Amino acid sequence: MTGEQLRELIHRDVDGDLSPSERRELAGALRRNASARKLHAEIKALGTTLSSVRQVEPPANLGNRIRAEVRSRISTPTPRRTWVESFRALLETPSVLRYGTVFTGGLVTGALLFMFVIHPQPSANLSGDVATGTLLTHSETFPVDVNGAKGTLTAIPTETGKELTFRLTCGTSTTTKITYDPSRVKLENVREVQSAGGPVVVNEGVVEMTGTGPQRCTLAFTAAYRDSRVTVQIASAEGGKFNKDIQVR
Amino acid sequence: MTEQSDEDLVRQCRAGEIKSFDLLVERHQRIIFNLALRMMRNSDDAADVSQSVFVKAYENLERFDPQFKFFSWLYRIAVNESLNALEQKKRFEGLEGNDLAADTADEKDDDTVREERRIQDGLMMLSVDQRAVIVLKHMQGLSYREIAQVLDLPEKTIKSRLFSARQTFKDILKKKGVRRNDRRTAS
Repeated sequence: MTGEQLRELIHRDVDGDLSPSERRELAGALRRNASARKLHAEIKALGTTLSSVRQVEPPANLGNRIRAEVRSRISTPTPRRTWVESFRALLETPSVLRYGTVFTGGLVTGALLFMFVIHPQPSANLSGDVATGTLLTHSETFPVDVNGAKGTLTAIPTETGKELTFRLTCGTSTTTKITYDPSRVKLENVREVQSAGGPVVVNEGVVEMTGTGPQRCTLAFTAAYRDSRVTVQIASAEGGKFNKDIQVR
Repeated sequence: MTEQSDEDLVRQCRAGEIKSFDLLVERHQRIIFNLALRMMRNSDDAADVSQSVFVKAYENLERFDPQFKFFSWLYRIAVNESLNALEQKKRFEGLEGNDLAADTADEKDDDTVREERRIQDGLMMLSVDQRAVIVLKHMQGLSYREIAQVLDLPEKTIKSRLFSARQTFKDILKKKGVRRNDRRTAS
């Protein structure tokens, strides 16, 4: 047994973690080795000392403080005004403010019409909460002109211990590659990188699609978290027509 | 009547029963406060951390996975909140202030109090990673496996971190002249 193994046995014995055979092995080593006996006694005494530190009573008002704070976070619905009341209130406001409100409202409506009706765009973000230890799948279909399109896949986990799956599916005439850059994507385990209609190459740091003509692609993002938070972005790059930004928090 | 489990209370909270969360606070506030206190040393900070732990827990109750123990999840939030608070404290004001030694200054300055102060001082000399495993193991009585769940690290890492933390702590206490428990109980 090496010195390191002996030290480990000593520590584990203090924590009550040894099997009967390991206990026998340790007992033999302690009989033969005076410095090991000394270390064993010291670690044991240290454990006892630490465990005997008294628990301190929290401040008497702590429970109330917590309860009050938690209740303050619960949103209480505010009474809503009816359309008639809102319109009446608007009429009662000074004219500059009234015209300003109408003008701003018009601008916002116009912008929304342009964005969603006149000039439809795939949604830029896909967000959701993932509970610890659960599996969440996001997927979205979006149009993309795959001729020479390129994109960069950037996954930015805020903590370690994540498992991620990326899957990009395009038309069968399309060749796709979903790759990740391990220097930026600090994932412990990428379980699957897969696409239909073409090969997948890992470790190059880009999303590449080659093919002919516009296709509809489905980008499915699956994340199995062992921890609470991860941010993944799949963003456009290099002036390509691939333009998808997905963020899962 | 049998006491409701944490998991039952969590289920009730999720269904909108805020009073069930009050019971969880009641049940765990002391242990969370003590965990934060050993990590932070300062009781005001520990109270603040405890408050934010429960607020975070409440706000994220939907994320709690019932396959884990509720207290493990709470401990994890507490360790993270303590680390965040320590980081902020270091950044903005250093680690001086109203610490555990000052908090207990009005207590009878007997051997036990003096020794506990030295132990707390020694804890503060450990790295936060080492301090966390020592506190979770010896002051909260968690197993290797539970600590691994709380810190989201492999059990093997927990063991090696704990063993080296104990070695360092032993040396620190030796330098600070803390009497070990075997001598104290003998006196």
